[in-house]
Amino acid sequence: MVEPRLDGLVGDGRAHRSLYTDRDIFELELVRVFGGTWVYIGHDSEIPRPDDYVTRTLGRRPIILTRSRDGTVHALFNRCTHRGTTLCQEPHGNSRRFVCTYHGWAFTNDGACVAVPYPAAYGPSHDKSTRDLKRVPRLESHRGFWFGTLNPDAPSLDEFLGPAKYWLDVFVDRAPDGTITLHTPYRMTYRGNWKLIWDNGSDGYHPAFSHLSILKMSHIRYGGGRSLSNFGAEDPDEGHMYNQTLGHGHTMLDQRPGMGESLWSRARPMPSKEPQYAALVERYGEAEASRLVEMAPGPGLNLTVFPSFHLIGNQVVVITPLEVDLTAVNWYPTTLDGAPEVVNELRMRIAEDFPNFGEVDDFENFERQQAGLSIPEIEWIDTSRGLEVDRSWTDQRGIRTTPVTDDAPLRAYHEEWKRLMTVEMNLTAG
Amino acid sequence: MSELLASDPQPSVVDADFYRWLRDVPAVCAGPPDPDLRAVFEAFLYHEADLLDRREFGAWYDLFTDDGLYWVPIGDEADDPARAVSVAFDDHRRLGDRIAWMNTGNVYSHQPPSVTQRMISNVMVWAVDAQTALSRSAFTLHAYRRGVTDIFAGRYEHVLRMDDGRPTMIRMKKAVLIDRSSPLHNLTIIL
Ligand code: FES
Ligand SMILES: [Fe+2]
Repeated sequence: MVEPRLDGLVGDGRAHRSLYTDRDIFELELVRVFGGTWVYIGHDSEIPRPDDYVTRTLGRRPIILTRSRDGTVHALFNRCTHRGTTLCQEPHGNSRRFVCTYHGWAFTNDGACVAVPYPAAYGPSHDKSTRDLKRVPRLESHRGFWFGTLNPDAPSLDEFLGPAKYWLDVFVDRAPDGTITLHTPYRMTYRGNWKLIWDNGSDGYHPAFSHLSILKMSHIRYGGGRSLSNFGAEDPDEGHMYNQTLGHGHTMLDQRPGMGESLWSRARPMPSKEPQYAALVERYGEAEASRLVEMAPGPGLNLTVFPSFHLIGNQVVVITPLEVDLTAVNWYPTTLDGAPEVVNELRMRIAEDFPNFGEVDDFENFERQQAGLSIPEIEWIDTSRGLEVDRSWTDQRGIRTTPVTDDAPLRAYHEEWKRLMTVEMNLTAG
Repeated sequence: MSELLASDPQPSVVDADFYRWLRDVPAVCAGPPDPDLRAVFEAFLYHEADLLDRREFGAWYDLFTDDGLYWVPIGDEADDPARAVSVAFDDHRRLGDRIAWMNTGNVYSHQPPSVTQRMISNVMVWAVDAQTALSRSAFTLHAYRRGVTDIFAGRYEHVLRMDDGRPTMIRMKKAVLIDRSSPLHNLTIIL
């Protein structure tokens, strides 16, 4: 692979088009970004029982996330140690063993090599245990979210997440039992680079324009002004919502200051709304029902954990780069463990709203961006908003707060991207 | 287009019984299909597909009963919609939202619009009672836009209201894509 030129590509309020269009940069990202920092792999609730597994990718590396019989979670490379064949083809399942279909080598779900057919020809020094599956050497979790990295020099997951942990907790603590369950995701693609959705993740500048269709529809159908797009203010720069940059490229967009008292009453009417609310009232009474339905929408924040994980609404969103100009985005609906069934059903109907009527317009804009960025002679995009007019403030923890319309979150993740792409790294498969 | 779109969307009728009804629908197809109903069903399904291909979304919306559902599931066949998200799980109100949304002129993934052609075959029909019959059919949908043709393929299930032995309105339209477990592009196309 040709080492791409990386210096000077981001900074000073601009970014170079090659971040989004260059195949060599993309290949390097799959190794260094999706390998050299903590990357979200899966959730406890996807492998709840012993011997459960799901198959995933880390960059392009195929892996199997397993729970062995003793309850331990492993991230094994889905690659036979004999000649490299992938061992598991299913997206999920329950199996104690993975047997290679090529020459029959067998491995338990903790990675141990337990069978090599006709071993005599390997000679007396042959030791099966030297043929154990390779694994993602560092695997840690927070509140059921498992992250892995191949970088021995990365900080602990705890340090990597930093202040983002608090917001993950806010999301999960809404569940009466203190845990959530992820379900089959809504899977979408756009024909554009994976970082285009990152540029958008904490962008409070675009909604009034990119999301005009959903705002108009709401207005036509349910009345009221379209000022929601401006977060309750005439000028979105003056709105009460804010962004925070949390370190390591993570950001949090707090929508709550613009949302009023009740998240439920602000949600657009969803299928089953009235009958299911009536069912709750009948069962729990008016006061308790109105408390319970507040658990149905998301908590009113957008959290991004660089490079692949977002919390949006009541969903967990995972971004997977497929090609330099093709990205998959999985929206996992979540249920709150211990919440009434009706509340969890309402969460499904709310989760279907934004991907359908909102996200698709952003995706189309990403595809238009990708087309525009193909012009070799026009090299730069603008990331300067808020650079000269600095309205940020930094608290004693070092967390920087900016208006939602500021490019600070974008610049922050670009800095982390640059660091990961250029720092000395010794990635290992343990 | 239906004037219902502009104002006064009606409350949802999706309740626990409605979910139960959805779970029971497939059992109707256990026996052999009724060959006598096939021709009238084909005529209805072709008409419906034609409305969509001609982008007559308002007229298509008017085919749905007030308790009608347009449903595009994802994931396992066995998934209970009360515990799973769908690409679309549109009761009458949300379907009205969808049509009003399409008609805003600001849905960028429909600028320029996709040119679509639906093909329907393998139509099998089962009578439920004098007012209701159910069909399963195969579909392919080619959608051309800006130099790229997307292909959607799968199975339709229709629960139709019958009047005088003919289908007249849609109580449920379910489109089950064969590739619903992989990422899909431009899901704003009505199947
Ligand atoms: S490649 Fe797996 S046993 Fe030979
Ligand atoms: Fe957006």
